[in-house]
Amino acid sequence: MEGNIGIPVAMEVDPSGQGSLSSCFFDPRWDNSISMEQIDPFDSTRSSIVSSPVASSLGAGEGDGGMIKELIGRLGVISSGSSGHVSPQPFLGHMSTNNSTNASSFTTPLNSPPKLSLSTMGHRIRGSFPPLSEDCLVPFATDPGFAERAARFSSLGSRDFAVGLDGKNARVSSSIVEGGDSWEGSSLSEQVHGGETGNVKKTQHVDVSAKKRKLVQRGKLDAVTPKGSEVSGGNNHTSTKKIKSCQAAEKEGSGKKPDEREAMAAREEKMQKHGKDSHSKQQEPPKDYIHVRARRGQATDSHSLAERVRREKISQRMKALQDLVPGCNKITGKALMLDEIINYVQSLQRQVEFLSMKLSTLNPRMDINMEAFLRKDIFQSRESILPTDSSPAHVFPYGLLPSHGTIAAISPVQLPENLLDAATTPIHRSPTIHFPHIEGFSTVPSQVLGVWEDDLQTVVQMGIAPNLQPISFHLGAGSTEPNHGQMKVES
Amino acid sequence: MTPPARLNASASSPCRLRTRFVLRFLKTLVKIKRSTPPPPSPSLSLTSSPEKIGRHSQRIKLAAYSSMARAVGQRRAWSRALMLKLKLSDKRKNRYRWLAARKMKQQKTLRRGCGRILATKRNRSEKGSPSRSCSGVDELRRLVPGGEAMDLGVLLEETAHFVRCLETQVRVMSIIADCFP
Repeated sequence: MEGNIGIPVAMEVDPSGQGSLSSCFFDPRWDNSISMEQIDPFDSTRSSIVSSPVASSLGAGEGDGGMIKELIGRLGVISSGSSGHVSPQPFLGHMSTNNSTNASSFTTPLNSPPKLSLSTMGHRIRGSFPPLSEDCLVPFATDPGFAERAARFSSLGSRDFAVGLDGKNARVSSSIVEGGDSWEGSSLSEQVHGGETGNVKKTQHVDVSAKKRKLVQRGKLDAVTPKGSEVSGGNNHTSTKKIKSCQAAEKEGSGKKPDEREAMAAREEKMQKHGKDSHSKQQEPPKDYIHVRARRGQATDSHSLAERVRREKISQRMKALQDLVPGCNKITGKALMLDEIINYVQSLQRQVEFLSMKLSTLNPRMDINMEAFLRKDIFQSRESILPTDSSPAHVFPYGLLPSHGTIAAISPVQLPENLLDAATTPIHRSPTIHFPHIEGFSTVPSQVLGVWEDDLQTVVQMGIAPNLQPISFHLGAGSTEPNHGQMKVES
Repeated sequence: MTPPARLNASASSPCRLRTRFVLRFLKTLVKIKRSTPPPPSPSLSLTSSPEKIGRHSQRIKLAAYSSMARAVGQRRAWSRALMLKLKLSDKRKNRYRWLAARKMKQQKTLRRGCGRILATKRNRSEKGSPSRSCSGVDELRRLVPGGEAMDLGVLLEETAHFVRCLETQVRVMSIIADCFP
């Protein structure tokens, strides 16, 4: 606890903030002190803390400390612009209690405390404290990704500053990494040049929606424009409806490195920044999460997101159908497309009906040519049709068929042979028909198809005209063959 | 018998689907042919009365659809719905009237239950229902078996598969019809 107090105190008392801040910042107790339990006492203050304009709230002295706190606080609490003189305690308190949920998200922002130096610190510490656990704190200073995280949470507002802050933080963090103590200096320097950033910092609306995972995030990151000052002012308003947390608006610090900014922007995508971010300069595509992202200017609530997902799914399916239905390439629009699909399905069904009628009237007439074709087709079929092992045993014992053409060798019991014999006719008649089959089907299936068709023919003939048995002479079985054949077929 | 074309059990490819369908369809056709009383004069199909022809063609049509549905199996919602529908209607035409009557009661209950389920499903999937495109989606639901209970997204997917199967069916049937003089 004392650590907590010590640190903020140090920050408070230090007018410039840097020196003491640095010391406090790296105070080993800081991490510990920042633990949740220690922060508890500050809860009350925390709740009251509202984000206030960073610039205004924090004095120079508090700059550093305030910055840190600001960063921390940003994580989850919306800073409405309360005075920046947020005591570290409430700041911490906020952090601790604010949200455990934010904790994870806030960890990163904490990493770059230097960002807060900008002056935002003063104002209010948000509940980002919980994340400000020791592990958070340590990385806080050294995590260059802080900026990114912060950006992530700051998606809410149209704050471009978020991005800027990120950059600043990144820089600061990097500086911290380098020289620990110097971080304040760097932060201060940033603060100095990033005047606007400081202002911006004041209200970082950490995107509460970050918890939502489906934040609409937009390239608000672009809003990174360095105009921190105005950003800060507008931050609160621009933040999304979920604005409850302060966002690390600072992200968008003006001076931030472009790459940092981009990294931040990339992170921020996830965050929802629905405000019309005037500062947004770039739209970063969503990166890590598999979320649905709301586009700029679109609603971001879960219902509309789900609705959007559904609509996209439906449009995908419609496109697939467009490929399936011939002649639909030029049609645009769901209604027309649907009509076209319906027409096509109806036409297909009519075709089936017509073909069934044709088949019902067609079969009885197929036995006439069988004999003539049988002999010659047998040889042809044998060459074209390979024995198919996969075919049912009862059907295609091609192997049994005498390649030399003497069908008599076929045992009468084997229907397939009969069929094959009979099948030769159709094969011969329309050899081309089978070949298309072969093209469309795999080799085996086509053969099977061919055989089946022959089989069908044979069977049909047998069934319809038992007297006519073109194969009888082949098998010598006479009338018994059809029965066999039929029974075989039946099986 | 399992159709010989079941080369492998992986997801239905057009080739395998066609093969399965062809085999089943041919089997059914054979059955129908056998059961159809041969016309007095084999060479004359005109002797059959129009009603007979109509009934015969209807049977063949049903055989085509049922064989297609069975070829697809349980993988698709529309095939499941179609098989169920055919089974129910088939039961209704049961020869044994009393048995059929009893079954009808059960079927009615089943259908009512199904209908209720379908209706509730439909209600649940109201958002996908024709609120946006009024008659088009309704019509599509009527065309695709089991479409009443589907969400629009699912409906479109089933429609795509259904269209593919219909095309296969038409192609096979036309080839079969062409085979015979």
